[in-house]
Amino acid sequence: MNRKPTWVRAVLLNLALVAACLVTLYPVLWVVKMALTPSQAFSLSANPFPETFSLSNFHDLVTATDLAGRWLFGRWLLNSIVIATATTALGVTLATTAAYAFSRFAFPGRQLGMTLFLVTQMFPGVVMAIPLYLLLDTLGLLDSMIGLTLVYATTAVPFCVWMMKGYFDTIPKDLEEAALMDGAGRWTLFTRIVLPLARPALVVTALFSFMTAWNEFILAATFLSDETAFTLPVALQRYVGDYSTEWGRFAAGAILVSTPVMALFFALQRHLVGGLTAGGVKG
Amino acid sequence: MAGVTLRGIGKVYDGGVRVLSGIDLDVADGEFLVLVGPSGCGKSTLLRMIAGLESITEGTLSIDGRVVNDVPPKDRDLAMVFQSYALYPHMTVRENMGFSLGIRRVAGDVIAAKVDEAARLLELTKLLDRLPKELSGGQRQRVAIGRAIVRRPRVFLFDEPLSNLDANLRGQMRVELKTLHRALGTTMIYVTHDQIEAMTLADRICVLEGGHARQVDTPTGLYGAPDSRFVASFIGSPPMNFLSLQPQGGTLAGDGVSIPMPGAARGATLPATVDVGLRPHELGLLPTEGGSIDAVVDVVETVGWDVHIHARSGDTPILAQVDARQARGLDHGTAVRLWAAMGAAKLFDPATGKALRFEGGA
Repeated sequence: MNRKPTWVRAVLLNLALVAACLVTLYPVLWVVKMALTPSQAFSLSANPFPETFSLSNFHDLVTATDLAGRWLFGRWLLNSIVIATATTALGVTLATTAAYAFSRFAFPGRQLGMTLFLVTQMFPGVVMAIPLYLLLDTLGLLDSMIGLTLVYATTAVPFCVWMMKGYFDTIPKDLEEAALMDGAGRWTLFTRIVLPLARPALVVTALFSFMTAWNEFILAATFLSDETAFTLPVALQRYVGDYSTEWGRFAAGAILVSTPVMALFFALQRHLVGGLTAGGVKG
Repeated sequence: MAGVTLRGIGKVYDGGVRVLSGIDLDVADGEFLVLVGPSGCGKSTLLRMIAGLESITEGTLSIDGRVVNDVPPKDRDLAMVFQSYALYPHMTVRENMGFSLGIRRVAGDVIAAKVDEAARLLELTKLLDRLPKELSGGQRQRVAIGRAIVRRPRVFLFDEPLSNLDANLRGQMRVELKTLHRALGTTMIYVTHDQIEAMTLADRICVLEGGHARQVDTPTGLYGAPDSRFVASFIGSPPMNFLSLQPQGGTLAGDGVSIPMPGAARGATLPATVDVGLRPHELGLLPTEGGSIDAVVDVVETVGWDVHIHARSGDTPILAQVDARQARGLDHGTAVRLWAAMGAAKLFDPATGKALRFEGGA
C-alpha cells in the first residue's frame, strides 16, 4: 500500500472536511443573511455573509397581530410547543411500554404486530391526509391541538416501537432475572433496571417524536384553518404568498423555529452514549 | 433458612420438548447440595424452576414445607447468583448490593450497615463506589455473591457461578464459598458441570443425566459406590477406566487381562460380559494381588508428583495414574503390565449400565 506521510493525509482530510462543511453551511448562511437583511435591501449575490444588519424581520414576525389585534406569534409558538411536547410524551410512553412487551413477552400476534407497524411507515403522510381529515372532522377535532397530537403520535409510535424494541433486545435478560430474584416486580424492574439502561434509545425516540411534530407541515396545513390554531411551520408558509414572498420574514421564522430543536439536541446529546450495559454480564 | 423438597418435578416446554422428569429431592435445612451433570442434562433448568424463573409443569416444589409452585420469585425469598454475574451496570457496587433491600423498603441506614457487613465478609469494602465495568471478573463475581447474601434469604441458588473465572481464581473462590457456607449456615443449591467443584463443595451431590436424577449421595458415597456406569465415569478425575470382560470361574478375563472376581460376586449369576471399572489411581506398575492388564503405552503425561500413562489394552484406552519414579523409561510403544489394586474393580451390567451389587456387599 502506498502510504502518504501523515501530514499530507491530515491536510487532505481536513481540506475535504472543510469543503463538506462549506457545502453544508452555505444555505444556512444564506438564510441568516436573508433574515438579517430588510426586504427592500435584498440582492441576489453569491456572497453568503450579511451586508447589512437589521432585526426588523424578526421584529415584524414576532410582533405580528391579526385583524382583531391578537398577538399571533405567541399563539403559534405555544401551539407548536404544546403539540410537540404532547406528541413526545404520548409517543414515548406508548412506544416504550409497547416495545418492552414486544421484546420480552410471547403473545399471539407479536410478529404480525411488528410487521403492521412497519407497513404503516411505508405510506407517505399525504396519502393519509384525506381519511384523517374525515376522521378528525367526525370527531370534532379539526383545528384542535388534541387532534393534531393524536395524528402525530400515530406516526411517531411505530418508529419509536421499532427503535425501542431493538434496544430492549440488546439488554441481557439475566439482568431482569437478577432483579426478579432480588424481589422486584415487573414495574420496578422496568423503571429501575430497564429504562435507565435504555436511556440513549429513550433520548433518540423522544427527539424523533418532538421533531416529527415540531417540523411537520402538510398535515398541519390540512387540518388547521383558524389562524390562531396554526403551528409555526404553517404560519411561516403564509409569508410565501401568491403575489409576493417575504423572504426576509420567512428566513427569520426559519431560524426561530430551528433554535429550540438545536437547543434540545445540545441538551440531550450527552445522553447519546453507547456502552451503558458494559460490565453487567459476562459470557 | 429452609429446606427444599422436590416431588416428581418435571419440565415439558410448550413445543413438547421434555427436559426433566420425575425429580425427587430433599435438600435439608443448611445443606450444601450440588446439582451436577453434563451440559444439557437439565440442571440449570431445575435450578431456575426452584428460583421461579421457569414454570413447573409437573410435580410439586416446597420450601420450608409450603408448596410454592405458583409463587412468583420475589415471594419465594431466595437469592440467586448467575453465571454471567448479572450486575446492574448503571449502579455502583453499593447500589447493586443494596438493591434488594431497597425494594423491600428497608431503612437507608440499615441497608448501609448490611451492605458494609457483606462487603467486609467478601473484602469488597474498597470497591463499594465503583461501577461493575470498573471491576475484574473475580471482583464482579464477589459482588454478585455479596448482592445475594446482603438480604439473608432462606436459600441461595448458584448457577455455575465460577465458570467464567480462570483456574486459579476458581480454586480460591471455591474455598471462599465453602467458608461462606459455614459462616452463614444457609441452605445452598449449586449447579455446575465441573465434578471437582461438586466434590469439593457439596454436602451431597445430585447427579443428573438426560433430565433424570441418577444418584444422590455424599461425595465419598458417589465416588466409592456409584450406582451406575454413568455416575462412575462422571464423578472422579481423571475418569474411571472401563473394560469389557468375561467372567470365567474365579476371574474376569479378556485379551491380556485377568482380574480376580470380587469375593461377593463369586457364585453369583453374571451376564456373559460385564463392564469392569477401575479408577486411574487404582492402577500401578508394581505387582499386586488385584489382577493385571497388559497394555501398550500411547502417551506419558507428567503432571508433577505423579504421571498419567495413557495406554491401550487391545482397542480399549486405559489411563493409569502412577508415581513418577515408577514410570521412568516409559514412552510411546512400550509394552507395560498394569496392576490393579486389590478389590478395586467395580462391576456394571453392560445392558443397563447399572452397578452389579451382590448379597453381602459389592
